[in-house]
Amino acid sequence: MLKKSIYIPALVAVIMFGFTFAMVPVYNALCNVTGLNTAVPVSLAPPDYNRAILIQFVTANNRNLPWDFYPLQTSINVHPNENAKVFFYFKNNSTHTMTVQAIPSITPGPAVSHFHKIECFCFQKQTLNPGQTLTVPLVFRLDNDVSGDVSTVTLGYTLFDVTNQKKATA
Amino acid sequence: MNFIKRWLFTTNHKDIGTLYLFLSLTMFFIAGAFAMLIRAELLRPGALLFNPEFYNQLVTMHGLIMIFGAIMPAFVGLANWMIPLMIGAPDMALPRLNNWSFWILPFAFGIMLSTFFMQGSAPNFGWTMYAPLSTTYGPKSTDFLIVSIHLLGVSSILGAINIIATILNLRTPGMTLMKMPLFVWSWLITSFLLIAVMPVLAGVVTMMLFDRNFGTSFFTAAGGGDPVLYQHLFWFFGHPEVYIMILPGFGIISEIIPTFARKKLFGYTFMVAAIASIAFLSFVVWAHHMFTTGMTLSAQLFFMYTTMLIAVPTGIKVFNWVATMYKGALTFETPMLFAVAFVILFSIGGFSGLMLAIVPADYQYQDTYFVVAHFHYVLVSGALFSIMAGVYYWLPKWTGHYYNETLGKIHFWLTAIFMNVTFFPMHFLGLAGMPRRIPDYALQFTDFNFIASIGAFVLGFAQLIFLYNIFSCIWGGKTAPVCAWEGAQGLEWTVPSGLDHA
Repeated sequence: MLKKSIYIPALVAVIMFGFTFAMVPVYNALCNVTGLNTAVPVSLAPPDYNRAILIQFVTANNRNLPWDFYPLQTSINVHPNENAKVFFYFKNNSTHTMTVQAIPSITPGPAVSHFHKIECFCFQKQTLNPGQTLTVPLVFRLDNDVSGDVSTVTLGYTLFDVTNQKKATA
Repeated sequence: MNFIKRWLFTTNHKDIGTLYLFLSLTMFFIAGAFAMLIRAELLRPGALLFNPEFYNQLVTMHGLIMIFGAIMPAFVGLANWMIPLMIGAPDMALPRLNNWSFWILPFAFGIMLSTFFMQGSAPNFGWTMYAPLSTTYGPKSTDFLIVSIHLLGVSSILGAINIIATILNLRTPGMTLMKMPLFVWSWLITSFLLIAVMPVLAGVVTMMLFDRNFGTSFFTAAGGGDPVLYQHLFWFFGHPEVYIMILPGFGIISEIIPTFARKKLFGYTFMVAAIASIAFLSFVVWAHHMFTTGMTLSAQLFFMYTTMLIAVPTGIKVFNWVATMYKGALTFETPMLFAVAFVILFSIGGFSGLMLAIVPADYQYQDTYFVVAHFHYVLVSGALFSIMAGVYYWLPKWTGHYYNETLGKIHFWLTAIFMNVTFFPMHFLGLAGMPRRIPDYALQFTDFNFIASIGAFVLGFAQLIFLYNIFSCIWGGKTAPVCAWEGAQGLEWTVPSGLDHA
C-alpha cells in the first residue's frame, strides 16, 4: 500500500511531463481542425458576383529586420470563389545574404477557414543577396461559405529573419 | 557544527516544517522588499528611483518569489508540521525524502536570486515568462531561472508524493478518510494538483530552454512553432497553481473558525466535495487567462462558463464558514480575526474574478491594474491571511508559548486595513485603464497610486510586528497548555507542544 501510494503519484508526474510534449502535435492538429493558423482545401463552386469583400494587406518586419517588404497594392475587392492575384516586394538592405520567412495572420477569426492561399511566397523561405530585390505573387480566393457579416478581411504578414536557424539545422 | 548537522540532516517532520516556515518567512520579506521598491517607484509619475529595465526585473522576481518562495513553502511547512499530528502519525511516510525536498529549495532560490548579479539583467518578462519575451528576447540569466524552476518542481513533486503517502498510509486506526480534518483533506487534494501540474511547468520551461539554446522552435513562429502554445501550456499549469495556493488556506480556515465559534464545522461533507470539485474544475478553465489571444467564439464561451461554475463550490465554502459562525459562542483572538477577514476579503477577490471571467468585460480588464487588484485580493487576503491565521493558531503548539495577543491584534488591524488601502484603489485604476507592469503612468492615475503606495509601505512595515511576535514567542512567553484554545478539537491538541517532543 505504501509503495503503491508512492509509485502511482510518481508515475502520474512522469506521464504529465510527457503530456506537455504531447500537447505540441495535439495543438497543431487542433489548429488544423478549427482552421486557426492554417490553409484549407479549395472548393470548385462558381464565383458569386453579387458579393464583394475588401481584402487589405499589411506587412511588418520582426526585430528591425533591414529589409523592404510591402504589397504593391494595399487592398483589393474580391468576389467569393474567384481567384485574385497580388504582388509583394522584397529587398535585402543589409550587407550580407539573408534568409527570411513570412508568417501570415488573418483577421477576423471567422474568415480564417474560408481564406484559401493557392500560391504564396509564405510557403517557402526567401534568400536574397545584399541589395537584391524580388517581386513575388500571392494567389488566393475566399470561398462562398464565408459569413455574411464579413465585409473586410485583413491579411497581415510578419517577416522573420531565419538566416541563422537555417545554418543551425543544416 | 552540531547545530548545522541537526538542521541539515534532520528527518523529523517538525524540524523540516520549521525549516520550510523560516524559508518562507525569509522569502516573504525579500519579495516584500521588492514590492516596497515597486510601490516607491509608482509613488509619483515620472522615473523616480530606477530605470524601467530594473523595474521589470523587480516585478518578475516579486511574483516568482512570492508564489514559489513565500506562499508554497509556507503551506508545505504547515503540512509537515500539522498533518502527522492531525492524523496521529509518528512522522511523515518518507522522512529522508522530506529532508531532500526541503534542502533543494535554498539552492533553487539561491540560483534564482543570483540572477540579479549577472551580466545583462535578471529575468525581466514577468512571472508568466511568456514566449517570445523569455525565449528570443530573454536575458542570459533566463537559463538560470529555468534551472531554478526545475529544482522547485522536483521539490514540490517529491513533497506532494510524501504527503499523499503519509495521508493514505499513516492515519491512526479508526480515522477513515471522511473523518480526517479538513486541513488534511485540502492537502491531499492539493498534492494531486501538484503532481499533475508541476511536471507541465517543468516541461514548458524545458521547451523554453530548448528554444533558447538548441535551435528548436516550439514557440517561434518563424520556425513553425506558436507563442500562443506557450500560453496554453503555461496556464494549464498556472490555473491549477492558483488553487494550489488557496486550497490549503481553505483547510486552515476550516480548522480555525469551528474552534473560535465553538461549534462543529457546518457541512463537512460538502466542504470536502467543494474542494474536490474546485480542484477538478481548475483543469478546464485555463484559457480564461488568454481571452484576447484570438480564440474561437465557442472556446471563449466554454471557458467563460466553466470559470463561472467555480463560483458555485467556492460559494458553498463561504456560506458554510458563515453558517459555522452563526449562533456560535464567538471570540476574536488573532487567528479568528485573520480567518474572518479571509472570508470577507477573499470573497471580494472572488467577485472581481467573476467580473474577469465575463469575456466581453475581460477584453477591457485584460492586463490592467484591475487584474493586479484581483489576484492580490485572493493571494494576500486569501492565501497570506490564511497562512498568518494558521501561524498564530498553531504557534502555541509549535513553541509551547502563547504569542503576544495585543501585538497580534495590532498586526492584524494594520495588515487588514492597509491591505485594503493598498489594493482597493487598484480596482479603480484598472477600470480607468492603467496597464500592468509599467514603471510610469499618465497623470490622471496619480492620486490613487499615491494612496496605494502609502498603504503598501504601512502594510509592509506592519509585517515586522509579525516577525517580532514570532521570535518573542519562540524565545519565551506565557506557557501554553497541551490544548491551547478552549474550543479546539483535533488530535494535534492532545499531544505535548514544542519541537523537542518528537
